[in-house]
Amino acid sequence: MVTIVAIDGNGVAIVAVDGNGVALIAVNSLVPKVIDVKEAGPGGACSARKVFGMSQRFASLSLIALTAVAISACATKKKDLPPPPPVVGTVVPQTTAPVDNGSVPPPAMVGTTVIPGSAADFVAQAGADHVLFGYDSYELDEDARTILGKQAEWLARYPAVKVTVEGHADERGTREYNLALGDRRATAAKNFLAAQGVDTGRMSVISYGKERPAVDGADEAAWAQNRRAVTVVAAKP
Amino acid sequence: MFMRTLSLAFLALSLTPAQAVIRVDINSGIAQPLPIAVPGFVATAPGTTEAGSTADLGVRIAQVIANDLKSSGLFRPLDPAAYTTQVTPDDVMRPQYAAWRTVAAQALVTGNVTVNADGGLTIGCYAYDVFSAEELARQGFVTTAAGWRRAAHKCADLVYSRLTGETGYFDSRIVYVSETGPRTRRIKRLAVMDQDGAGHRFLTQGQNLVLTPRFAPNQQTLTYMSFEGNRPRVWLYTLGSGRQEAIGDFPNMSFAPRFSPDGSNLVFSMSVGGNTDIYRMDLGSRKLTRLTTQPGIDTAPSYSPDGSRIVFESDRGGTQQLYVMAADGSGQQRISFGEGRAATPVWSPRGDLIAFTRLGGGRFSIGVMKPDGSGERLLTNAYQDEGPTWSPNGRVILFFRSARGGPVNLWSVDLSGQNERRVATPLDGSDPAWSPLLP
Repeated sequence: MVTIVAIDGNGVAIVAVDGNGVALIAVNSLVPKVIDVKEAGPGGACSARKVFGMSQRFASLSLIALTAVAISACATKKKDLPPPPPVVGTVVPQTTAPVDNGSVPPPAMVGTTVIPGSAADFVAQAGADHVLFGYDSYELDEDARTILGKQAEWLARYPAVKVTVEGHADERGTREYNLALGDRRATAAKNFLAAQGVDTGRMSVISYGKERPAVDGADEAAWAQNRRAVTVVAAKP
Repeated sequence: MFMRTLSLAFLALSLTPAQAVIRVDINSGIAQPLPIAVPGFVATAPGTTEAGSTADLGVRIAQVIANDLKSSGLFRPLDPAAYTTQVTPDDVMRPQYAAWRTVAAQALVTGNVTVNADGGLTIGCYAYDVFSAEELARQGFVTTAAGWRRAAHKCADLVYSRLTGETGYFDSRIVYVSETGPRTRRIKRLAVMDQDGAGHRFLTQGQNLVLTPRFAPNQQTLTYMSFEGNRPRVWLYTLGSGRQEAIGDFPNMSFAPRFSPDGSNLVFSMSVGGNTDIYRMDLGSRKLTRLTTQPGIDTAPSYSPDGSRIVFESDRGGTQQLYVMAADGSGQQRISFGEGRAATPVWSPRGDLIAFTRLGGGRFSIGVMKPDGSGERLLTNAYQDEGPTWSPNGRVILFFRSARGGPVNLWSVDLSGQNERRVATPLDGSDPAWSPLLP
């Protein structure tokens, strides 16, 4: 049974696997996700790291699936450990794109283990925890406004939850300017959420400039992913 | 008598007397570096210090001097293996000019090392014109044993200064950000080292993201930006004690700090609701004064060396460009034009130029322009050359270069655009700042 037992301050969901292992899944950042699987049992350290890209819309599903892969990979190397438990849980699938793609039926719902009100739930329900921007722009396009609108709906359902909106820039600007640009982006996202009724007292902004790219790359595809504002659900007090 | 001819573009600044002999023309990028011999300094008597024996120190001092001179691109130290001339204690002050002429050394640096009663050292430094058989300069340094490197740098500064007419810059330090780890989770630490890379040490341990360290004029304090507690703010670091202190409990991000030339004020940016302006803080009273009020991003402020003006970048006109204002914020005027953007301006310690980053065509270059915006010259061109800082004498510019998808390192380039070279650091490096000459 995979159960999310806690969300830490970095928006990292901690998934308890069994008595032997703990999988850490970063759920607050963008594709590609980094998954760390750390063995906590007495058999010694076993760690596997997977970096994978995926489309946002299936992020939640992939997350669980890859957790299973990572755990299996780890377990196969440690023959003295019991086999990993089967992964039976999944999350509510979400689609953020307009429903114009009849060829892909929505996956069946098999019950959820995502804790309502958690960061994982936020990502699942809003479709994404982040919105993207054009080069040197802090304008929210239609996709961004759609996602932020869903984020605002979720935040309306969980009025006790606080968020930090992180602003980021791609590498094609100077350091100081990009810090200011990241602030502009985070502020634009925050202001939109506020306009949708989210109390500004629940939101703080922080800019990382070009210091924390989501993707390590130096081409347009990477830059596009790195120009972003991420809504990070704060850890519960 | 051989006399190296010179083009005295900086005659007014020249310290050279009328009977001057060899000269190194620092403005000519194509000149051949001057062949110079720097044989090991002579131990006047066998002696030992906590830094090693005088004989050993004599060799190491000469190596430090030769390395300094070579790094300037203006000198070509001869390989000691290429000559057999032995320097006796008497030769230090009466060189065998004929022997040095045969190996085509045009200048010669000799010196001696003596242990003092207190365990410290006296280091004598002498410079000669080999072909005119004349002494150019001499200076003695009394130091602790551990201070031998600084004495060597000061000797190199003496030689550089005597042969170029410019102040030296070798006895100085560099603070920068050491980088390691994947770029999505980069670990950044403040680090400081001598100008030649010696004495490297980390000042922070990487728990917090740190950026843009800058020296105070007294070099005992740094200002920098830290994300400690997920609250990006301007901090001060006291080098002697290691004490770290946020300059204020601002609710908004503060960043891009620099000291005023007298050390009494900081200028930096603060972002409030997506709008970034430049502020000045009096470090005595901690009083904050807002210097810019225009909507837009105003950042990267840097004082003129006389403290009367501040150059900064602003996108108020649409894209990043350089502006100059009086230190009180009045008279803001755009100075950069031309293609692309101009960013991260830094006023030269001589006051005559402003170094900056030019962005255009998907590349970043390091350039210089006069404070009125005229005379722009680009010195480098690469995927990303960013964040210039000046040598204490305003002749060399240090910056950081990011290869596309690759490492980021410190580099330096002469004001002439020549002598572009990598500055070695243990890990990747960025955000360098050069100290003034040490006292």
